[in-house]
Amino acid sequence: MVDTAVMVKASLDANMIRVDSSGRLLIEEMPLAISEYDRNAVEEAIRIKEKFGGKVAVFSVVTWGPLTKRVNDTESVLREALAMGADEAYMVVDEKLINANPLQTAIALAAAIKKTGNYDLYLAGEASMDVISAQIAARVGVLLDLPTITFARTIELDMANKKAKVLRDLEDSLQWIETSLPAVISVTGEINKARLPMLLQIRRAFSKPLKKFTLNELGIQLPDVGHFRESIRLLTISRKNIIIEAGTLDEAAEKLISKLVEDGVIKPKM
Amino acid sequence: MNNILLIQKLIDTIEEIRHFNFVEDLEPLVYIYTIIVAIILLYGVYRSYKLWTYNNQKIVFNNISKRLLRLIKYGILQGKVIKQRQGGTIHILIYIGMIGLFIGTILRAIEYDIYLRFLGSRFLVDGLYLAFKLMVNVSGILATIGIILALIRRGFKTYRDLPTSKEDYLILLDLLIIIITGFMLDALNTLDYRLSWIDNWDPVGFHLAVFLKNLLNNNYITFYRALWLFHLTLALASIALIPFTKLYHMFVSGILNTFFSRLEEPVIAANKPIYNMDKLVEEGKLIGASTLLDLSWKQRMDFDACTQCARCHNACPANLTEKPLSPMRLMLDIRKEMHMKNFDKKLVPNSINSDTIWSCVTCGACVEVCPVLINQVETIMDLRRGIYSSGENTPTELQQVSYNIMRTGNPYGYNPADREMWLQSVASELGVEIAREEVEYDYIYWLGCNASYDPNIRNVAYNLMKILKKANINFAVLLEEMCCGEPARRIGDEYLFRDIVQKNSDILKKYKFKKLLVNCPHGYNNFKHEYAQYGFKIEVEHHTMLLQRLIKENKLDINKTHDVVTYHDPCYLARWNDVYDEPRYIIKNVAEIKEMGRIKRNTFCCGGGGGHAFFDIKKGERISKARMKEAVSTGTNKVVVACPFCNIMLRSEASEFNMEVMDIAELLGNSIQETKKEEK
Amino acid sequence: MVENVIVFGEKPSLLIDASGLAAELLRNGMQINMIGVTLQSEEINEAARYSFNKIYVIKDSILPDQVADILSKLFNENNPRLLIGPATKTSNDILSRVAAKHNLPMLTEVISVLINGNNIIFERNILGGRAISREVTSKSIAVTVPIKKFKPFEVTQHAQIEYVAPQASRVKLLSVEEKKKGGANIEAAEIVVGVGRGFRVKEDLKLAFELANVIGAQVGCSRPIAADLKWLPEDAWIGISSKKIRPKLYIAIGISGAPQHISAVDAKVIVSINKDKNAPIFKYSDYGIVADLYQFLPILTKKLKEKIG
Repeated sequence: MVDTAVMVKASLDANMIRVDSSGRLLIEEMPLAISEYDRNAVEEAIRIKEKFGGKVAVFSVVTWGPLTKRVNDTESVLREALAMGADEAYMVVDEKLINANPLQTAIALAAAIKKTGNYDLYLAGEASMDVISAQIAARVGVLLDLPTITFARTIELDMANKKAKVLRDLEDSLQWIETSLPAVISVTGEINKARLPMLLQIRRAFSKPLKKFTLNELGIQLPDVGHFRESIRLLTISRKNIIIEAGTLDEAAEKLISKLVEDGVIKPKM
Repeated sequence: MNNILLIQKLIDTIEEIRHFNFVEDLEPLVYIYTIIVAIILLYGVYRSYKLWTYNNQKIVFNNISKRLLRLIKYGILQGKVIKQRQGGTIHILIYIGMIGLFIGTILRAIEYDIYLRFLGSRFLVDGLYLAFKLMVNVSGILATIGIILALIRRGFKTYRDLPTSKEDYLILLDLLIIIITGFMLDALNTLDYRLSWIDNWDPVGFHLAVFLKNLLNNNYITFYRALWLFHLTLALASIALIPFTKLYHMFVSGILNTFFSRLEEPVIAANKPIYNMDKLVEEGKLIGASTLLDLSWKQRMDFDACTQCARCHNACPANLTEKPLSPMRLMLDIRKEMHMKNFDKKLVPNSINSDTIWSCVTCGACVEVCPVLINQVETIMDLRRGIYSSGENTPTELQQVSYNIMRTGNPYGYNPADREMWLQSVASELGVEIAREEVEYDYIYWLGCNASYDPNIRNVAYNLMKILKKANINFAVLLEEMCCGEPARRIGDEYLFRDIVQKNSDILKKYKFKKLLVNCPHGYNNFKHEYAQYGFKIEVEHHTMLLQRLIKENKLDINKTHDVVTYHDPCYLARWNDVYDEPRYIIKNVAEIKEMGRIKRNTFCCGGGGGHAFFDIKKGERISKARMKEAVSTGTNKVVVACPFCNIMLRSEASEFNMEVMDIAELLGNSIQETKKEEK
Repeated sequence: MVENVIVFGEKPSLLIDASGLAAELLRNGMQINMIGVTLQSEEINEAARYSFNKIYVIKDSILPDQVADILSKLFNENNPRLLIGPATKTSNDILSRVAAKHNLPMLTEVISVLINGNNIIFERNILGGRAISREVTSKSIAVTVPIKKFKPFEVTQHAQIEYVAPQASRVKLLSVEEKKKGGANIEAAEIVVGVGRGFRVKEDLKLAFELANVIGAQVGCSRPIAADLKWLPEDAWIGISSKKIRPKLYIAIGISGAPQHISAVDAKVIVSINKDKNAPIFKYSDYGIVADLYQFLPILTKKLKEKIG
């Protein structure tokens, strides 16, 4: 039996950018979706449950505003995780957490997790797909005082000895690392191919428990660390967008080459 | 002069039929056999009935007169059987022949058992007798020719993949022997009491009699009796064996399946609504069919009705491009499970490969050609829903499609804000109105996902809107459009489909309009037939229908070109919905059409239906490539389409074959661009 | 007022690179006392020339918690305003732990920095490179920087080097395996040629390799080529979750232009070749050629050979 806690983020979907008529980014209008690697983490937890039994609890903190709308969005994300096969879902909802940074998010997550019980395994995606800070797993590991391994591409559990063997995927090397359980592990997108929940599975999952906590109920206060996000603005791409047209491909190639020489990225032989 | 004398002579010399000649003592045998045969026959039919109604399925008797007409048109008059030249001709020969022989036998029985027995009179005399004789002769000849041709067809394998086994040969030979021995008996019979006869009315009998007389001299009575016994036994045994051999098709396929065939449009019958989905979901049950228990009495009758004619097999685009689907094979495989009473067995993947079910592009060619009115797509869709709702054995690309529709409102996962921005800029450029709730419009132009997001298909919408503006049509477009749901339904996600119907109904209810206008046959079919199944009736027109009317009413100024193009009929427009003249009318006003071989209701799918625009069964040749090859063979270099899926599928083949792909709206749009003056 | 800054880099070369951010602050008027921490001693003398006051080399430590423990001690001793590291997975892991221990906010992959009174303002990419987030900090913070983003500051004076004994780790390293290099080093390349789904079969990639040969380019690819089709190794995959490239010239061939690919390319000039005139990549290119790559590439290669030799 393995009980797993999975931390998921309801992230902004970068493919669903909304702007107003003047081109200003409208963050509040953008939909939230389960962060891609968090979905892999949930999938891994479900597969572990299918293999070893036990339960899977998912946790999320609402960090984008406006609060009411995002609570619904986050609930929707958690229902997806429940539809995939998780058993319980927990959400931390508090006005003070809007625009929280990873430090504050990790504090809220760790508190919520501690409040619900002890787990054998704590999983998260390696980074969220909207801000890609890649800190949550390591931070939560410190707060829970547990061994932590990041960028896991493979997790092999040895429940007889309460150990896990993890293949850590770095840029230039692969490391096999062994840890005792419980442990915190962040997973990469390569760890598995996550199942996609169907609408009817999501409907069915409405019968599973989803609980909300405020910071007060968790008995925590967020420290003031002298950091805030001032703004988010859309990046305008400015490329020349010149389509080279010519009668023949030969002529087009000639035109292209002369432009590249002009721009100094190709040096012709003298 | 001679003829009158001959006839006079005939009337003087012909006697009546001597029933049971030479075999009076054997007469009781006939009745004993008949009773045994009747019992066996009834048992056979009862067995089928038990299978069809297993697990509380009740056979529904309704609309008797409509159904009788069906039976007459397709069963008795062989309405669809004759549509295929080879098999159709052969079957008509055997069919008419056997019926003629059967009627002949019945007439003789009536004369003997009723007229003679109770009225002491006869009717097969004089002219009627001659006519009777001729009918029997001709029937026998036709049947014999048919059987011989059938044996050749099977022996030389002239029809692709026609399933041929020993049983087929045996049955054909069996019939042939019955016919030949019947002729022989008749000939020998008349030898005895016929003094002279007109060979014109009984040519076979005459020639056979001459031959046999020479062969047997006068010792033919024993031979006759033996032959009579043989013929009787063989014929009645064959009848008894009908429910256990291919001959069963006479009842099940020809009579029962045509009578009980679904009266709705085939496309509606193929996609049935499921009204208790919430309950099923709550109870954790699957949606759709996964075992024979989930298939209805009608579907089970379909499986028994399959005559293994292989027409659907040879019309199926998946099969013709080597995908693992044969609609015929599917019917027969499930039939086998049914006969083995494996009602609890999960059909996919235990007896049927999931790839088989996923290979179907829902083009309906199989339903179109089936002579006995089987609806293969209905069973495929039911099984597909069963597989899909189980989550297993489903291509992940299709799960992604459902997920995209759920999360982004379109199967591609594109950003709806992108659509809104584009639509608003086009609308302002062309002066097209964004629909307002207070205003009543003649049409709301529903773009659909392809025209909304795919850059190539956006051009179709652009041209269509331009044309509509030129013709002063009172229409508007919607900023908030959600996928019409067709892809969800086709891939088996019925639950999501119902959800979408509800959501889109809520959107459409806000506006006032007469009809919905679409540029997509899938959307057309969907809004026309399928939304009503979940309670939302809506009138819809495909853009070719409206454009044709506009041209007819001279509302458009068209410059005809010298172009020669070919037109690809979309399955969902031409075959499922009978719309193929309107597009041609439009095109002919612009260019000349060089038709492909498979057109109109016989069109060959582009390969994009049934969810296949979103994934590939990587086996065999691409269906779109096969169709493009056919387009190329017309010698034109432009193929005109009326469907965004056809557009996308054929476009992916276009560069390899140097063909241009264009929607009718674009073709028309280009031809009215250079008008001399603007009309107010 | 002199601020302490601890710079970490698992290798001295990365240490030098990461110190570029501190150098940037220096250039912006901040007075800095820079301490370096690294894990290897190869080329340490090189690093010592880059305006560090002291460099600590932690011996025999490859596991993050080992390093984080020592960094944490140094943090306590020096109370720095900034803890800087390169934007690598190793450094990211280690710095996150230190940040958690000391209640530091942390910003990864900052692309710009400026000082405003007591505040340091950073900017970083979010939303797959489509947006920029502006972050203001007034207290201590941990930061990672992309490679080659900021220029380090070279001085003549040599830093003091001190070796530190390793700490124990809570986990056990079983084995390390170097990843097979495909031979391509697209991250360092000045010219990169990218291949995508427009190529029908693996053998056809040779058309791109021939072009690359002529102009001295490395060959990279879009996600499907490396991850799904596996025609090229993973280190050729140009994507925001894989390799990010900053060449002078990027030529995208048969690539449609998914945002995850495009935002991983930071090039001076982008050229695209695609037979679909509506392919999104043309929006992100300086020069686009709408043509069948099978016809155009050989012609382009031939002409470039004539021009460049």
